[in-house]
Amino acid sequence: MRHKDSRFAKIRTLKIITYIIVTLGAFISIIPFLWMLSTSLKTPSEVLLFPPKWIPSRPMFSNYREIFNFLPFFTFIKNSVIVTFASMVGQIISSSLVAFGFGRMRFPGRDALFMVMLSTLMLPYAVTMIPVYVIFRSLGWLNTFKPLIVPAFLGNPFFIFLLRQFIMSIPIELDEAAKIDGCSSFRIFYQIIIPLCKPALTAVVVFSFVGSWNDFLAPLIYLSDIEKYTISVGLRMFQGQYGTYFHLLMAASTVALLPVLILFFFAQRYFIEGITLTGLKG
Amino acid sequence: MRSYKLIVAFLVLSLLLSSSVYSAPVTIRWSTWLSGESLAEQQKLIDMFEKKYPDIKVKVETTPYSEYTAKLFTQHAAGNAPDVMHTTIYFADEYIRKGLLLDVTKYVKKSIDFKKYVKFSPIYVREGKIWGGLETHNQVYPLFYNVNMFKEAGLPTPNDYYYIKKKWDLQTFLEVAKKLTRDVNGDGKIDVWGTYVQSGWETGWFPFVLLFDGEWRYPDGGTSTVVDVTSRKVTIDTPKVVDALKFYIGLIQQEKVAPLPGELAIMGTPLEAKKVAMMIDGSWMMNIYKARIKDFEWDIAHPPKGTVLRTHIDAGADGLVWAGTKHPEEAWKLVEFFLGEEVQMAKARSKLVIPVLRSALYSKEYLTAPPRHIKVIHEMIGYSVPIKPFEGMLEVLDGMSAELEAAMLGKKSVDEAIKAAVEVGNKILGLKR
Amino acid sequence: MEKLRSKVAKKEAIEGFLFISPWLIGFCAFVAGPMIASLYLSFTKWELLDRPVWVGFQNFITMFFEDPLFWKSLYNTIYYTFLGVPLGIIAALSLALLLNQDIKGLSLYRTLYYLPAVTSGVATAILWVWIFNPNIGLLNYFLSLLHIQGPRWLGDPGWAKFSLVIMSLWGAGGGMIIYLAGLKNIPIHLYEAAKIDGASSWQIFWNITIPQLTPTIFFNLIMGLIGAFQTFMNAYVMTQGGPVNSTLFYVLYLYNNAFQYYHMGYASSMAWFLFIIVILVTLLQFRLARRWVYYETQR
Repeated sequence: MRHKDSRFAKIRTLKIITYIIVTLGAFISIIPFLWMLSTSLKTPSEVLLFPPKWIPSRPMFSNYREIFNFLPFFTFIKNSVIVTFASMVGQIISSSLVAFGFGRMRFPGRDALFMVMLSTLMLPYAVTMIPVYVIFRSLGWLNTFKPLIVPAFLGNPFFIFLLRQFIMSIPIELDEAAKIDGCSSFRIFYQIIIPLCKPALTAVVVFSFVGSWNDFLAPLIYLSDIEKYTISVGLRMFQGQYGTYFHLLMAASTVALLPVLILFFFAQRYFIEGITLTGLKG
Repeated sequence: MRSYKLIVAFLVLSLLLSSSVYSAPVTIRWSTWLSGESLAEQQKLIDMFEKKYPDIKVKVETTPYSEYTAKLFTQHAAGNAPDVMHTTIYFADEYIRKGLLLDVTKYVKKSIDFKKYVKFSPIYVREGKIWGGLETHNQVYPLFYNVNMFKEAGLPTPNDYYYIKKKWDLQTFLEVAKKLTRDVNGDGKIDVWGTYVQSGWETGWFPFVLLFDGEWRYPDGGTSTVVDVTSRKVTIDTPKVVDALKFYIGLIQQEKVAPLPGELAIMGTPLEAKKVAMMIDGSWMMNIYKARIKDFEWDIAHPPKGTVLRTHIDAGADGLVWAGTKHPEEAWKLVEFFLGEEVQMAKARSKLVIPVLRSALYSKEYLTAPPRHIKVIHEMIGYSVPIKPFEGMLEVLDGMSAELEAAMLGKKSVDEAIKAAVEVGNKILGLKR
Repeated sequence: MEKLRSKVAKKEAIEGFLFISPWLIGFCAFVAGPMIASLYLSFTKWELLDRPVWVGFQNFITMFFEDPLFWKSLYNTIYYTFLGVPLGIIAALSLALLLNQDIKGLSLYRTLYYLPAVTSGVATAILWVWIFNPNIGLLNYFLSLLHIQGPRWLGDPGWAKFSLVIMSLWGAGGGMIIYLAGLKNIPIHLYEAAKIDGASSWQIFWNITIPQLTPTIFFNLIMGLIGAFQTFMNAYVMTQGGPVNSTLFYVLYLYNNAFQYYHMGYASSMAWFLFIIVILVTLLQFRLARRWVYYETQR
């Protein structure tokens, strides 16, 4: 009996310690976020108080209204939604297809091409920015959403690599069983591999959304009409040459953050589900 | 009879054609970094412009300031440049050297009455020709101070010293700064400082180099800061500059009237956070302080006199005309508009920049407090020296400022830091890249 | 039989190319050209506002032998990478393991930990400057409770890089998600079988969890390296490369050369030198991976 009790106690203390560490860490994680919220409700002079006054003396909810007057923020939101959703769809579909190709199929030059793909991430953006811009200009795509959306349908090396890793963790026996049943590669991809990649695909959904939602360089360079700007560019417009409108910037940033958080919270479900491989010998 | 009809037909046709040419609105693109309030105000002015010239439409392309150059240069490299560009003197200079600004001499001579304006800077005027346009505003670097702090300490303000006692020099500045540096809450640590020292050149050490008469001057006027442009060597180790730097950096290390860089935990500037009593800053802060400082009175004063009383002046332009524009006449009209009454008066009201049109500069609107001693700006323009950029200016200054930071942090002596700065500065000047 | 096998192989090869065709098309259309263009530009002097001028190897000579800031910026980046990447992997992995247990409010905790990755960059920068403040910042406050006088963090050339590494760990939420996905991917029946065999939690961890996670760890390692070698944003916003150029990272210096000093040709040569370094480091990792990364299916 005593042996079991001490075992229980050990597990309990471990759990308590875990709780403490995790909670402390979570608190540190959210300090800037709390400051963001708090500042979004302050007056410009209250923002300047340091150390920060966490509770504003008079919450200026009007800041949230003012951001729509200061800049065409509603338009920015609309544009971000369009660009992000289109990009997400493109990235998920194209990246999983390519990842399957690199992770499962055999063809000459596969590994070399995979390295080439990875290497495209290694050249700093600053030096390819202008040639890419020239290409888009010659296509007549400047000041449209095309440069932001079309490349999303052509694969994203980060996601391709990620999904390839996961695909390579799936036993080949499943494929072989399906092949014997006469499945084509595409059906194997679609009906067997993809369902088994749910956790990884969830990660891709979240990252794809965030990446596109927060991307400011591409919209900034390719768009010139303020009516076409996305949220990320809009946020930078609260920062002028001589100073920043912090209270408005934080209100706008909070608004920009909400869809991401909501998406993430709901995506949790797919993280909680594990996977079980049925129909396999132990 | 037939030929008569033909002539009429021809006349009618040519009338129709010419009127269509004249009535088709021309669209010109203006790139800027203004946003938010300033953009909304500028848009009102643009609307005024379009009303004045119904045949010209202006497409405003705004880009956030931090990415402005990247985008503008990208557009140029791709052949997609806007007709009129908002610039600072650094890119303007580069553009002129590359022949990218339109020769607008004939337009200026026809429509700009120089008598109505303050003296224009030598940036846009070279060898009798005027490129792109003229500056639409200036900035100088006055001393900003917290009036309340001086009053509470029972001290004369810098303006009292300058105008009444007629003695506002570096020695007085130091004495006053010492008296205002104190421990407010009795915890043994200094909470409020007399002044503030920065590592940047523009509002940091260069104003003091000027006060010690240490700057390098072009033969035909203007300064390059601390680089001998003819021999391409830095002059940061010349005696007057060394004296200036020793004084400036000494404010932190020896005299202890200024905090270490990074010491203060504040948002905004040390002045508005009430951590320092006085500091030199760009005149654009008048607009920011007007909006943000509500709980004490702030004012501007002349910088303390060293061996001389001098400041530098930065000439900016709302718009300069690109040499490759397809609509030079219309583009010039926009630039002319920026130099005109409506836009200049808007500048006078906002105080974000200093207007160049005299009637705006001396207008009642400009002279309205805050700050109370706005006339200091007028006087400073009188003894200001224009900066004339040269190739490689920003990288040399960045490199040297970084080395001087080591002395500000107390990691090196001022002499050692200057030696390192000379080495780095000359190397950067000599780089082939 | 040979003929049938080669026919099957040919079919698979064609299908393989079809699967990767989206990337291949994108690469040929939008990526290959600009990369080759930037390689060409690295041999030119190009001041952005006029034509590039061929200068052969001059940029590289200047870079390696004359530029006082080149080696400094490279050192700064290497320091940051070799310190930050291993620490980042450990942090994200630990976080994922902690949040993979049965604790109440798991979804909430995970969301909170992911917040840093999506919080406003400006808010993040301002808050961390405050946390690092030598006098009243949180870090030194906690250290003072332990009777330690904290350093000047971002204000000290000797500590600034380390401060930015600490700050990068705070963004571990992104890596955490990937590890969580990896952990969820481990078939439950493996754990069940091990428990039946009487394995301890520690044994399960080392013999099942970690090996099954190696593909994910490898992914984070490679992406971590590629990312760290190009670190730029935090220094750009918070320190502008200072103090005394101690946080002048390689890509920040590259960016300044390109868009502040008008040396686009030189920036391109800097970019290609970095490119070669990162490719070599990555290839090395792929080679070493054969020894420690376990794939269920490797063809």
